[in-house]
Amino acid sequence: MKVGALALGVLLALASPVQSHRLDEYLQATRLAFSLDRVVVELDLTPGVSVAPQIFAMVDRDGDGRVSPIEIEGYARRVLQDLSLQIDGRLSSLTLVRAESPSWDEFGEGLGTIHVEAFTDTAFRKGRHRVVYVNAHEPAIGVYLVNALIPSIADVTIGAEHRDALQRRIDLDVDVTASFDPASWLMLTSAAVAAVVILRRYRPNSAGRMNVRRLAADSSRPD
Amino acid sequence: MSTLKRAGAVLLLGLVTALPVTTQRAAPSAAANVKGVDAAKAFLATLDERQRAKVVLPLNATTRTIWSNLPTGITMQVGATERNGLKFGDMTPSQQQSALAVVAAVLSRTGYQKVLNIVHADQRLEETSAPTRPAGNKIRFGTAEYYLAILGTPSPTDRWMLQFGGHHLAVNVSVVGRDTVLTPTHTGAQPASFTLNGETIRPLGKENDKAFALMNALDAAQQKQALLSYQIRNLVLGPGEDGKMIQPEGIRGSALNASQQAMLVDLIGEWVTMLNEDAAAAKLKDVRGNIGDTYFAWAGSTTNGKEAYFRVQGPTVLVEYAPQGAAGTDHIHTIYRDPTNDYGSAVRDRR
Repeated sequence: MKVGALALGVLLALASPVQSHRLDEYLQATRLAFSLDRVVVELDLTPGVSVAPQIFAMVDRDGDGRVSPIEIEGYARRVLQDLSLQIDGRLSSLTLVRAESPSWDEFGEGLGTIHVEAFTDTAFRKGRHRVVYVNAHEPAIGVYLVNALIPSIADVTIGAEHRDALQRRIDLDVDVTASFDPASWLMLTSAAVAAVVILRRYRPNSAGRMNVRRLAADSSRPD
Repeated sequence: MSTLKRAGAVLLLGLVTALPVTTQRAAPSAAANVKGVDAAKAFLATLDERQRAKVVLPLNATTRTIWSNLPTGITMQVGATERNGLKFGDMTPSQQQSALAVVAAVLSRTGYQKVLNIVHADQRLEETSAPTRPAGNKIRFGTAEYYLAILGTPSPTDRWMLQFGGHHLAVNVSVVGRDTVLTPTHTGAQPASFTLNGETIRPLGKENDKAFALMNALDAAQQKQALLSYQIRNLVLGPGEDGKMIQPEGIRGSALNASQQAMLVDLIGEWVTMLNEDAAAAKLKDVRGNIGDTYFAWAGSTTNGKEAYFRVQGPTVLVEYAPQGAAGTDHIHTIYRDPTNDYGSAVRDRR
């Protein structure tokens, strides 16, 4: 723990922030994105200068002053445990797809933002759905924003929105005019896979990169 | 402070009065764009090969999104660690003057002055924060940390883009022939009020004052509609949030009387009229045409001088104004977007 204490000490010493950046608050901005078959939760978490050491200690579990991919993933999972997403009264489990940490000097300035992205698969049927999202992460220092993005497809629209005074909770009406059809989805997916296979066969030199995001990247940067 | 930085600060101070600015109505848009092209070419001619390679970049879906509110030394929202272009600290004084002439050529007189005021504020921030900054800290503010980039090739007929930005400033001007588009653009200020040469400068003072005036011109029932029931501590659709939009909230323009609607247009004009006069006039006409469907939302105090967030959202405009963190009214962020035409996308689609 000596190393951890040293890292925190260095962090505090380096943190000579511009006095008016965020200080004792932990800004947590959530955006909810809806499609016919998925709800995506994007979180931007920005600890203020005076709470940054506390958050950094929670992320940097081994106290070496650097955030490893495993550490930021671990913290992101801890954040997800503090979130609640209900669709039509049923609790939905969130799958983590992205967790990125700022460097430790960015933390110290109160300008570093942790990015977390997760999703839940669902199958919205035609009609109105009630979605309730609650963020209970670090309530003692948290200040919150929560917004539903206007869906990119016309079949899904956002209706009434109600937030609590602190924006920790939002109650949403989501109106769906077309049902998610698993059979069509399967057919389209199969066709897409077949197309990719054919293309790869006739393009032997193509890189063949998978369009899968890395869960986390090592955020520590040598000075 | 390095010689270059000092020269930059002096230069900017001097340019407030030295640079020629248009005092009469601008020539037609095409002529205004030619002015921007000529200024850009003149600037490029002052650069050596290495500098030119930094300034001129391809215009594509990735390069155009690299801008931020953040100071140098902090990873931007889009993941980039440095802005596009060449920074003032790496230019000679005459190159800096040519660079500023490009910015002046595409903006209005008031827009250019606003840009200078924001840069002055950041220079003040650098001067107050640098003495206590520990060695090794990578964060920098001030004049030397403003970047100019040209995406594409400046042309009176083809697409190109000018980016000028640093801490609290991201001017993104997309030019497509006669059309000039200012969205998305970020302005901010810290300090939000300071004295320069004996004059009090408030880079975003008019935005603040016009919004409070409008809020206080509403009757009690209208204020109730405009006032959101929850706190808002930051921009919702700030840097890094391209292509996203939220539901409009607050009072709808159709529920305002003619005088209040005019005040709302005038408020939006604080962002729109940063652009050259003809392009701004066309955009304001569009804003007026949609004013009935434009919403005005408010969170916070209605007393001018206290902290308040506001948002204006219509079919072709989104503006947010958000006091930041502990400093509240002394640290402001704003964003100006057009959900239908950021980066001139609608203009591109028409062509």
